[in-house]
Amino acid sequence: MFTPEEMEQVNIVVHADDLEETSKAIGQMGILHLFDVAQLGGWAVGLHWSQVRGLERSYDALARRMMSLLAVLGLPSAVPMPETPRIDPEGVLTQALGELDEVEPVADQIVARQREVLEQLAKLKVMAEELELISHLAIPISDLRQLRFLYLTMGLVPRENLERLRGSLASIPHLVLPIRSFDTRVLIFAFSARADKETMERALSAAYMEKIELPAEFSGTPAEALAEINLRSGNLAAAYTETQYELAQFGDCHRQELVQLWVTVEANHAVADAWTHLGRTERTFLFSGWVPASLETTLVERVEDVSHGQAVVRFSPAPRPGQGPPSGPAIPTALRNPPLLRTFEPLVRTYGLPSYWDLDPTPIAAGLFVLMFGAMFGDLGQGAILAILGVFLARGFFLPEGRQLGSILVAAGFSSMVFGLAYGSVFGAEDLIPALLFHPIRDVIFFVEVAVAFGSLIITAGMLLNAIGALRSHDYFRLFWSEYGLWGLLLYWGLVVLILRLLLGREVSVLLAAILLGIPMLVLYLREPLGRLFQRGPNLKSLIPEGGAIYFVESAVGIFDVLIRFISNTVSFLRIAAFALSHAGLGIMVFTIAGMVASLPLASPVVIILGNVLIITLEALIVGIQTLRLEYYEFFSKFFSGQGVPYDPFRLKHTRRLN
Amino acid sequence: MTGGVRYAKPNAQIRAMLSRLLTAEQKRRLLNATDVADVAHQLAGTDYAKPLAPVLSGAISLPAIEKALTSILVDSYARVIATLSGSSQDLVVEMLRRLELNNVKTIIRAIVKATAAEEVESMLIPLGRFSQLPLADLLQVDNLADALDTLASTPYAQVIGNALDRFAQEHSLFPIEIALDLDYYRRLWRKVEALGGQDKKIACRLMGIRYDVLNIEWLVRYRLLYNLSPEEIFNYTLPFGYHINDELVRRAALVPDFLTLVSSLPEPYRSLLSTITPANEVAEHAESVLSGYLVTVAERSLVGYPFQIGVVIAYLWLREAELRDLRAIFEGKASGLSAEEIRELMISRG
Repeated sequence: MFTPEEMEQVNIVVHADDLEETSKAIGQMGILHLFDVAQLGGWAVGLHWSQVRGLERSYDALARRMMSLLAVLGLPSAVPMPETPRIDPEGVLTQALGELDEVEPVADQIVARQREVLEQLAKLKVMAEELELISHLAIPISDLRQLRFLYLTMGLVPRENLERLRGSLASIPHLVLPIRSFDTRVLIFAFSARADKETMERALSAAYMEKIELPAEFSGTPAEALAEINLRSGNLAAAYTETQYELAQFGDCHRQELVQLWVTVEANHAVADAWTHLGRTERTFLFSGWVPASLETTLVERVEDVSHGQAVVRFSPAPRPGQGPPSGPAIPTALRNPPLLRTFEPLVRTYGLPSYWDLDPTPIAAGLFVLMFGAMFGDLGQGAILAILGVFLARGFFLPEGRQLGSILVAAGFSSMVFGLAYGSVFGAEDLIPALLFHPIRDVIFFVEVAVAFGSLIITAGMLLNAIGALRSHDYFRLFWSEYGLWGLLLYWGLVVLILRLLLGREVSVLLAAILLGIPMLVLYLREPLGRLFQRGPNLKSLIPEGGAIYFVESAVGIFDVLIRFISNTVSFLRIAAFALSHAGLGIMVFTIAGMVASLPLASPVVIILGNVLIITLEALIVGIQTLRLEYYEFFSKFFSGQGVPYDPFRLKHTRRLN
Repeated sequence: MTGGVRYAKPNAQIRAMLSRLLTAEQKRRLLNATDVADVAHQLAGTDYAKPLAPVLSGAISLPAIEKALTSILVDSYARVIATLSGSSQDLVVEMLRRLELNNVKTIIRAIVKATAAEEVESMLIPLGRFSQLPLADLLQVDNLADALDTLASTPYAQVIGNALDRFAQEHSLFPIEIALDLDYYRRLWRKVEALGGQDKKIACRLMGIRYDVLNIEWLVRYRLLYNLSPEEIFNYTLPFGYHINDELVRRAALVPDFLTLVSSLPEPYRSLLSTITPANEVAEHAESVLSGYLVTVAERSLVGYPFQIGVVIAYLWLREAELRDLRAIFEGKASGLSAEEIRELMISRG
């Protein structure tokens, strides 16, 4: 909790003979997050095993072919990995290509036939649609095709080209008739004098019209042709069903071998991909990566076991920022929260993943989300409905992928219930139960003050977290001189104290303003040169490398920007009070309308129920969004960059990358 | 007031970046440099020294220099984008996407010519987080149908799909490329129209002039080089602009030669282009003159009320023009052209 899983950098040197077995063992463990050995620094650049890229690319192409074949044959591509897959990337590639070359052509043949049938069906469908439009005409199609003085053509034109097409035909008499819209295109009939046929055709082609020919193979009136088309479509549909049956039969015959081959290809594909990160000498291979410190022993034992003690495994602690090579490998982030908090991780991940040296804001984000949601949507009854809905979602009802959302909803619903008791609000009624704290609508000013004070605390907490994160990563510039560092915090609280004094009618002297605002502003104005001065000593030339004038203009605007942001960020928390008030207001509105229709039988309960449904649906969504907004913009932005690299260990499974 | 708050930071940043553009004196020195190495030497102390250092340190390679210059442009865009928000940010991101459009065209050409993935990769402009293209997958594709599938989640798939029939019939990438251009500039104009208040007015004027220039360049090429019919020309031009409207395009599409085309144009384009003598490279000359006019428009946009989108657009145009000039200088010096010959290839001729 609060910090990501501790990582260690590991270098594993294995003998060439043990490469495949070691790769298999590491892949099966699924704990090593690999990086390119070249990132270890200059000495390792020449070691990088770049030649293996060709093998990896061949696997990419093979996997695509196989996935497409499995899909065509209706065979599963998500298959559990066997305990001991055969790992031999070169050998498996040759074998797989050979097997595929035998099976694929047969499947391709059936698919080609199927595609032909589908194309004919599609053509007939379009023809039928066109003929439908003129089916009332008792004129033979051949006569329409051979109009003596008129030229008629039809086709699909991209919608945005239609106006331009009309404009381009201004020089000739014409009629462009849109008949029907298909997604992004429009079916048009275009008429002109036969003498202008070429001009018309050039314009239509330049407008990217896909021409639809009046069917030459049909005779008679459009209605007669339609009947013929329907008959042919029926025959083609039967032919299509037959090809499907053939594919299913063929798939069944080859199910076992293809699924088995796919699993092996997948595992070897993953290994080939992992190998692209490796270093190579004549007789050895070097794996470099990150592993959770808690799994260090497990990794060593397994690698030594498969290499019969021949492998060399060396660990080193994760370097602090600025300590490793300049373009060194990013340390991946693996969050470690208890199951209850893990539910809230998506709220943080939507903003970004914490970098390794950042604090993991999930516990605080979870608490704040629940707290602010309840404060904005405090209602005992509606909260209970949300919680019940959450329980169903969490158990997989309604939406199979909504389990996490369900758990969040349960917590938010409970918080809503607690605040409902505090505000004395139940199903929008403000007077059924007593308020344990206060009624938002009766104590508006008090609530506004509480919301802004709460906002100030959250912003302060954000800046303190920024300081803690900076300390952890030994980033002293960020700690002292960044706008959300310690000097920024002093400026913020100077601003808060001054505004409070003004609001309370207390005197604000120039001296006080100069101390509270002037000094921190001056320090922040000069933060770049000051920061460099403290870090590198008094070398005047390097204090402002960008050039003085530019720096001072930019910095002045920057300070102005910071002050505005501090104020707007704090005021932003007013929305907590605003949404609580609007909730109470909506409740009053529902009960007022219910009172107005009380003379009609059952009208009042219907209005109250529908009103509550509306409030729950709308408010839960809006309050959820606003809560996240407050968290992201007013809180996270102070300490959390979200630039983390996800911990993605090498596993013997490759499909997820292709997907 | 809101413009002041919204554009305070971008404006400060852009003013700072404007002050780092090359001066006329620096450009003169670059033009008079003896060779490419001397150009590199003259660039020491400018903003170009650091990003160009890796490509100028060893054997000089023009493609590498070209790529580095384009990366500088992308970086300039990224820095401007970082200071903006909302619809003005959306507009600048879309302006940057013109480079992505170039990448799409490069990939399509490579697929048709069966160019090796590594070679294509080296030709692409790295756009980082601004790219919507699934590049890794696209580089594996060997036919246009698969490319369409891979591009399905991008705005390019539909456009290419609409032009595929014509590609099959004409065996030319022209229909695909022009469809992509038209679609891109329509999307860009939608971003201009999404701006509010004063920003929209300013951007409509500036981008309108940009679209005028684009339509004129296309008119010259379509009519005089490709000999396209008036109805084709009208379909292949854009319905947006500042001085140029549909009626003018329609008229210009009928002209028999360059001089008549110029006389059919409104001011200031008529005066600007009347300085060109009809010759083989009339399209290139016209483009150069019109690009110079855009530079003048950009410079004028920097005068007056500073807290508006015009400053942003103007800076990006100036930066791009400067990079094109630098490219011309590097290429000219590498080919042994004289200073005067290189000056002819430059946008700002000082």
